[in-house]
Amino acid sequence: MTEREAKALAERLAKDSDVFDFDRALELVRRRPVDAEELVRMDEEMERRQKKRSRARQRRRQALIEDFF
Amino acid sequence: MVERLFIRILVAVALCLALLAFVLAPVPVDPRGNPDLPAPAFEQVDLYRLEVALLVFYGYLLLVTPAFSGLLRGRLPIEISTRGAKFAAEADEAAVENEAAIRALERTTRQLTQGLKGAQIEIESLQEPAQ
Repeated sequence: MTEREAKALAERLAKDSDVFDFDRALELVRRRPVDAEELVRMDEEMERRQKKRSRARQRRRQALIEDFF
Repeated sequence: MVERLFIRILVAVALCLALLAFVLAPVPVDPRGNPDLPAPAFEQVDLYRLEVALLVFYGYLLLVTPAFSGLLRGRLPIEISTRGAKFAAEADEAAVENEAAIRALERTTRQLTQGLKGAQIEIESLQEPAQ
């Protein structure tokens, strides 16, 4: 992993995190790159699930309105 | 406040009608003058009257619930079951609450996982000078 890639990964890890600031995230990326990538994947998966639930809720809301009429 | 009072009046009317039905409901009789009750009454006049009263009470509520919400609130229930009437907004509110709870759990899980990884790094860095 290049330094640039490590910094990009650290930035993604530190984003919206209460635990990692950029420096700490960078340390994690350097020491445990596999764990860092796993954490980023978990975040991405969480975002995907949130979007999926949001879409499902919209569809449900729409279905309720259509059933109503 | 006015709405609740109105609901109390409607339920009181339902109860009065049910009691009246219990007292005044005619008991069907056969040509010989004996009670000719339907099967669910198990040939008991009191049970028959009770069933008529329940029918009147819940029939009235079944009729009044959508009429009340339709006329006063301008919306109809999406479902009426033995557990009562369900409205679209209420169902949606429940979904919103569930979504908020799931998000909170996900945030906590994320914090714990990141905290664990952070702690592992700390432990490793503490172990390094000893090695």
